[in-house]
Amino acid sequence: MKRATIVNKIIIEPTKGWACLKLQELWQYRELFYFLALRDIKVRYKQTFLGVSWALVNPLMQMFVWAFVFGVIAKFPSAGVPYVLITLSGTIAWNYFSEIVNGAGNAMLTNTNLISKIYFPRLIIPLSVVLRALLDFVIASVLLILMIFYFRVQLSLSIIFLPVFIILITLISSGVGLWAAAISVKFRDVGKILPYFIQTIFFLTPVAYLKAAIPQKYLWLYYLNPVAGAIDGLRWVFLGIPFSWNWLFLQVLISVIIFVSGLFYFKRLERTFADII
Amino acid sequence: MSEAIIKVEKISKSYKIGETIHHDTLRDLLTDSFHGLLRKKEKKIHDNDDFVWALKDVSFELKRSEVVGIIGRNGAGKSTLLKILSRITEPTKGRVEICGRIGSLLEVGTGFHPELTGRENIYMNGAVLGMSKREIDRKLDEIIAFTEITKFIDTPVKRYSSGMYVRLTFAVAAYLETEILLVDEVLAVGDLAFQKKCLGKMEDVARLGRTVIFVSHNMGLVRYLCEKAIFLDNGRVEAIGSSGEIIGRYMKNILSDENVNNSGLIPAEKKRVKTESASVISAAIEALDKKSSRQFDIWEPFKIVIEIESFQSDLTIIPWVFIYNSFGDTVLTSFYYDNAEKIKGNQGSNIKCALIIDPNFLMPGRYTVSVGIFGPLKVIYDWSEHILSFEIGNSFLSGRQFDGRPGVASFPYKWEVV
Repeated sequence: MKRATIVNKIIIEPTKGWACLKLQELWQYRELFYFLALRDIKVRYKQTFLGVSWALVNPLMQMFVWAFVFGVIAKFPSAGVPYVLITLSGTIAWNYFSEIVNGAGNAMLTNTNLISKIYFPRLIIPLSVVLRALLDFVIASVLLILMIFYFRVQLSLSIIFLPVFIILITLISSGVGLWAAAISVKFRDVGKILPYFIQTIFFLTPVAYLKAAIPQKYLWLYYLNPVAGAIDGLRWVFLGIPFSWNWLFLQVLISVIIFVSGLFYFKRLERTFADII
Repeated sequence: MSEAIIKVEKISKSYKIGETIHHDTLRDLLTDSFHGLLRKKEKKIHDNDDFVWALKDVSFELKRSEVVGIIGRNGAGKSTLLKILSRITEPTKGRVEICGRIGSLLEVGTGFHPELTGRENIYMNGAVLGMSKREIDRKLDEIIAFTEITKFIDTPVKRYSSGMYVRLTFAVAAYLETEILLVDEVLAVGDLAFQKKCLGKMEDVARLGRTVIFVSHNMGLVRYLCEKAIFLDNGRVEAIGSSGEIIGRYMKNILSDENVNNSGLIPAEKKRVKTESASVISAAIEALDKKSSRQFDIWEPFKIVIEIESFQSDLTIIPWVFIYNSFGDTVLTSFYYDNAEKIKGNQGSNIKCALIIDPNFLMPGRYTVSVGIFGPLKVIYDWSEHILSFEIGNSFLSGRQFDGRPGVASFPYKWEVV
């Protein structure tokens, strides 16, 4: 041991009002965060027959199904890009979102044991879900890039904007995830409702279609969805499909509001987790 | 070194009644808020009654390298106190100051995952206990050696026997180096070897100048390990002092009639551990002719009957019984597998079993009984402390009276000239 701070004084007191975020403490516990994410990743790949390739098989299957339904049967507009690339880029981003929201919504209850037995910043649990989902996202993105080369779609300089949209979708996903995580401790039926919620958002998000398919008069509603914005952005980065910059600021703002409010709501409920879980 | 390492100032903790049992659902919220609109005022008035105090104005100070036992009946607030000290839950009022890192053996095996190998679980559990990766790296070889299962260290722990599992869980905790150590007896239900290891470690810890807080129902252990004890009753500190004196007060309190219920049914607040797997619904002491009794003579056999309800199908249930004498020492411990096969529980099924206590074995005096059940890997499903009491009278079968000789046990003595 012999840590830098041998005698650190701990004060235990009831917290009042909206607690501060204690980001410094979160940093102290970064290793636990890393181990939790690592555990979840290892366990998942050990339990599935397909192992790591599951991170590829799943988006591939969805890519073909949605491309068949929307591109071949319904003949949605494709902006001159192979429809499988549209659905694959959408699926990858969507899976990232839904995995975080669903994962965070269930993670608190699956880790009841940890929460009721030891102290650590509870934020670690939903945040480790984000890390886990990010890994899948990265693996699947490699697949997307290979497909792009296969179809000989020209990558442009816009690729430097990739981080912007990854941050945007991470922000909105973790924001919704934090809300789901906090509420799931208080209300046990949230885990059951969550899939329906995600299902609804799925159809409101351009996973399997392009923005061009949306009637003009509903477009403003479409733009209020930060996930839609992020997917559009990713399609612009990878496939060169035009992107509306005008709405990006609003989408970022909505994401930040949901994320920050989720963060504080989670922190607010955090101190009671061990009592009610 | 006389400065206080832990300073507890008037901490209280309240729970909403039913909070731990009832889980809100969104549906409830909706229906409640609808009803709430209709009778808002009514609710305000009863607000105060909805809370119970698990701890009330608890204050004490501990100095460096003190080993203190916390004793008290179930529901006295011992676990709540440990939870507050380990920061799992916050006090409602009051303040605690702690100098140094707190480690606790409450969480032995926490974070373990059956799919991971022993080695991976050591890292996971170490991180959970607050060790840094570098710290674990450095001690890894020692920890693995301590487990005595080096050969299986890269096998998923789901293939471990329960003994191997327990060794692995304790090994990590044993290498924890914190200034303060919290130990809950729940972990010590394991086999004797495991208990010995725990105790040996605790003694080492104390010798190294660290402070230990030990929660236990085994008064013999508390007397042996702790120089100081705190007796909690109904969430308040009833007494603090030398462990011998405090244990005396506690046992007197336990054996007073109103505290041991012999009606058979076990009320929820008497339970130390409760799970959704299975529960002990009643326990009773019966003479062999099935009459419920609590007074026997030395020559009379009797049995302790336990009724269990299983909430899950195909559940392995192992009942156990502890018997304590009036000094709080554990006189005997028996597990169902001592002579019988495991019990398989099915959802909603009731199981009745009994431990026969042979005659001519217990000395006259008062005894209390704790009962519980656990599953594979010693996961405790239910545990109720001091739930029954009985008294062994003075007469032998021959009519001879007990002569007050010393000793804790007896048997039909046979002397002969050889």
